[in-house]
Amino acid sequence: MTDTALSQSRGLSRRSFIKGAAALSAAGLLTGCSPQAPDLAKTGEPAPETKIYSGACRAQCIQGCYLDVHVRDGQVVRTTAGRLPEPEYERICPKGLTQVARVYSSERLQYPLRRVGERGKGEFERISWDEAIQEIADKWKGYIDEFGPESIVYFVGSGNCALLGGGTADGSVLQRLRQVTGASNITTDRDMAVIDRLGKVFGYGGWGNIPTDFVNAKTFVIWGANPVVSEKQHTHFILDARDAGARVIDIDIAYNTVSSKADWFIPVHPATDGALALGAIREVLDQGWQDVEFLRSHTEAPFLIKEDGTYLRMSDLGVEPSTTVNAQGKTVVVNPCVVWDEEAQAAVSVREAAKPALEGVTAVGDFAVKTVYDIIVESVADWTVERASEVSGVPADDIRGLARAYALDGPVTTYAQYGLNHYNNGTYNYGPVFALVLITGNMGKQGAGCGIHSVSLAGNSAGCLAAPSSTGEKPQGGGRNINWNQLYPIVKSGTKLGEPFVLKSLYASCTNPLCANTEHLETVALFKELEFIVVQEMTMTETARYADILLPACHWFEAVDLRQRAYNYPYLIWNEKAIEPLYESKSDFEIYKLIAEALGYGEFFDFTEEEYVERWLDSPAVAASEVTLERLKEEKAVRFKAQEIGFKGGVFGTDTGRARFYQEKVVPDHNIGQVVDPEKERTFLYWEPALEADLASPLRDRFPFTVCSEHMRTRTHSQWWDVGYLAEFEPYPIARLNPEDAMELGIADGDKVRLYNDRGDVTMIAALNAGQQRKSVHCPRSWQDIEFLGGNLSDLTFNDYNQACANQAYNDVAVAIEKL
Amino acid sequence: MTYYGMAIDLGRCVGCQACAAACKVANNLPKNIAYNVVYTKTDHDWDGPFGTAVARGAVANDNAGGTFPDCVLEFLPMQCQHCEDPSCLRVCPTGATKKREDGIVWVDSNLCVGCSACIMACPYEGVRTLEKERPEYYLDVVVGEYDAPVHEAGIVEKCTFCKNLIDRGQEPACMQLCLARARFWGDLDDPGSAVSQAIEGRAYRKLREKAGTKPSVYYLLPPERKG
Repeated sequence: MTDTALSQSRGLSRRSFIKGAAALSAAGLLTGCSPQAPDLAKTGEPAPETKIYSGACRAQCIQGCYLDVHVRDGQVVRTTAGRLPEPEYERICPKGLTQVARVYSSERLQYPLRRVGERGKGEFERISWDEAIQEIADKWKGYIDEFGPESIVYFVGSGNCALLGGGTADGSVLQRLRQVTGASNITTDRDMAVIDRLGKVFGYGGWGNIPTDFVNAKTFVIWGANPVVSEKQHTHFILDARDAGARVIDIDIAYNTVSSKADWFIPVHPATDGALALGAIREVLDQGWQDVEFLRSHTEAPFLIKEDGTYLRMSDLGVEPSTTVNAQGKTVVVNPCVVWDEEAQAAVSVREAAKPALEGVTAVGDFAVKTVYDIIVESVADWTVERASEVSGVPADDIRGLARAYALDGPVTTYAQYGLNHYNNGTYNYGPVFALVLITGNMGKQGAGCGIHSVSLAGNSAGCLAAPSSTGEKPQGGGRNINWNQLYPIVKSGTKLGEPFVLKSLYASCTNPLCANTEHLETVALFKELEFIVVQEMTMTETARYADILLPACHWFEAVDLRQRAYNYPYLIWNEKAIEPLYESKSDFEIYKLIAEALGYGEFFDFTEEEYVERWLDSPAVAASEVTLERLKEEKAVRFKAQEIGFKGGVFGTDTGRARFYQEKVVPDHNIGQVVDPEKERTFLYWEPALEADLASPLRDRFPFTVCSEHMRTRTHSQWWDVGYLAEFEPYPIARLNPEDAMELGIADGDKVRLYNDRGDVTMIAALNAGQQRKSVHCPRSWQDIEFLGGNLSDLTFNDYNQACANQAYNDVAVAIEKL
Repeated sequence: MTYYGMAIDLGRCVGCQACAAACKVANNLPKNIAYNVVYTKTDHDWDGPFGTAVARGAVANDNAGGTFPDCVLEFLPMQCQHCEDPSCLRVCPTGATKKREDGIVWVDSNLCVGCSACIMACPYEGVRTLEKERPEYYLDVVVGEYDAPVHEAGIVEKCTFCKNLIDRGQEPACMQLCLARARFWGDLDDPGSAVSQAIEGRAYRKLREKAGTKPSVYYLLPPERKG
């Protein structure tokens, strides 16, 4: 019974490609240290002291785990889960547990580098910090003088979710740098379909209930999510709900780990969830199961729509609009919508109606009207359960069962995260799902929440960005936003929507877009076209290899910071500096300040780390939670007051306080000159198929398979790519194939396969998985280009957006597969 | 009398690999040694094969069995079962394999000659490693606990129940921290301990009991599905 070899190699990857670059990173530098601890029993030495520092994982997996960082003799040796007043929120995962391998990674960048070879080849020469910063300042000042500050564009990534070192963290120093220098900004256009629909349907505010509320659900629906992989720290809350008696229903395109823990697995065809939900709504209405009281009191269902598509308002009935001052101190017009009050038998302001009618109102005065509820009924008229079944692949009886669960077995928590997002029709899948939630009244109550979780504390982010310099000067404000998929066209053409827009330089900090974005070959072309690229990184990533100047950022444990942006637990984490920055690396904070000073903006950054944190903490919400810098430094993890129930009592975050099914005015979230058909956007009960992932797509004749690029267990976006320990679990890129599909193609487990379409190809290893439905492949994403046997998973994807929602559709992909 | 044991709730384990990763780092394990392997299992035969794992040569973890959509996917974390009557103890010719009064079975690296008798005698394949070559590491620095086990060519290694940590009042590394809350550890003789409480009232299996070694790891069986 002998052991077999760990993690067999399945063919030579292109990792060897970067060995040249390794000479410029930390590979080999530490050789000479003994990899074994001395045996103290033999040496008789006393046990060395281990100091614990507070830390946090700061990648954008949203979990934000509070870590104890163990340091011995000035070296990080281990990480464990930090203890919290509420043990249910204690958290760590394989990534947090192997942080030490990131700190001492052979891929760490040691000193500033200047490119000497071709872009992307990773050929650099060592330069000093002074030279690096001077060269950046000289170039950028020249561009600013000649073309204006917008000729420099920032890609503000999510690779470090902290205030000082962060990119996308709210009010981060990097965002301030952009506001001060006036640089333009790339909107990353990720995960926007879910955010768009949550905002439009429920309004803004805290979506979803706090995880400790999951246990109150009687039915817990996981809709297109695999939280045990992609939002791991929700796992035990969901299992707790199940073990307390909740029926867990998992709706997914594949049978995955969370399916294996669910009571009922409902397989659905890719990107047809909206059709499934419309069928379920139709069944709810046919059975008379709709929550009439909820619809009347908490949604816009009773609102009256005029023939021109706008709502009937009191001004239409001759009542002059009044004005009031809102919470932000702005004067706003008050012109309430009209409903038909069944008690008064009159058209009245929604604010005064006792019993707003949902149906049967056809005219008010001279206005022909119908209710929003009428529109709901019309929208599902063609969506019989049978038709929904045909499109979604879900048996009709199961659609009826789902409708019954929503209507009769509540409270229902709907755990819908990003799974439906990554398709061109993402918004059209979320809209009907959210409508089903509302029509059955499963929102704003204990055990009945819906939406991505946003447990967060509002700091003084605006103040951090807008604070004047030490000499009293105001920041000029950031330049314009550029949609990600417009960046290359703008760089190439020098125009944006027909107007001149010269773009010379890109600054990437806390981000690896070459790995993370769609249509990789176009991203490569963009990075070859740009005149001057500055990348700030910890390791030699693909994006780093394209830099003209490459700045080595230190690891998270090597500088103080404040961990914010953990959306699913109510703690702020103080990150201590556990060790000195390795090699010549510097903290992101210090690098931003150096750049600002070299550009002549030093007086805007005349603050220490702690002063900036104190500025961010200066907000009413922070004060209400009694969070202070002193407490953070003392307690390390400080609980803040968080909303427990999203839109509690059915008070929604829209201007009417009611949830919506319909919008009067269609306003796309981006303008790239596209043509918009407003009829697709008018109600949120519209569905159309995905472009390529849909089984009926004409492309599927040539490219029969669709690819879902699932999260890896062992990486957050592209981070942890350099951690050997984790390669014992996920060693190389794979394509999970349905065994019958594989048999038809003559593919066996472990074979090399090529996935291709008209945009590109990728070569990787086949892994047979009965959890895949036919013609649907799952490929873990987050691999660096050099890890594929050929091509790149992102070469397969397209860069086009939905007409009204700028959203990268990572999973809306059709491919053919061949065995190599 | 303290007697250590562990319970693993198969209804909750999601194969996240945190226990395996924690073990690797805390024990400063070299590349080819894993004390703790989480297998992907595509059946419910708990006395049958453990399943597959990348760390044991599989192409990938987490792939289901059965026929879509009627699939089977389970996870089985495996390490030394710290048997009450360990077969490894009986066959060790040098006295290197030892069992403490508190139930922990361990190998004294000073006495082990690498004869493999314990590996052959153990009913649980793959929980021990005998490295023939000088161990290689992922990192050039020492990680883990200062008194992590010694790793040398020619000696047998396996899970120590982190006796170094237990002896200073801490938990085994694999208990740090199960995100599904599927792992329980403690004193089986104390009815109030976390492990005893976890076992209380639950259907469980001990693996391969027919071998007669009386393992101390309790596998709590998944609950019935509500359908």
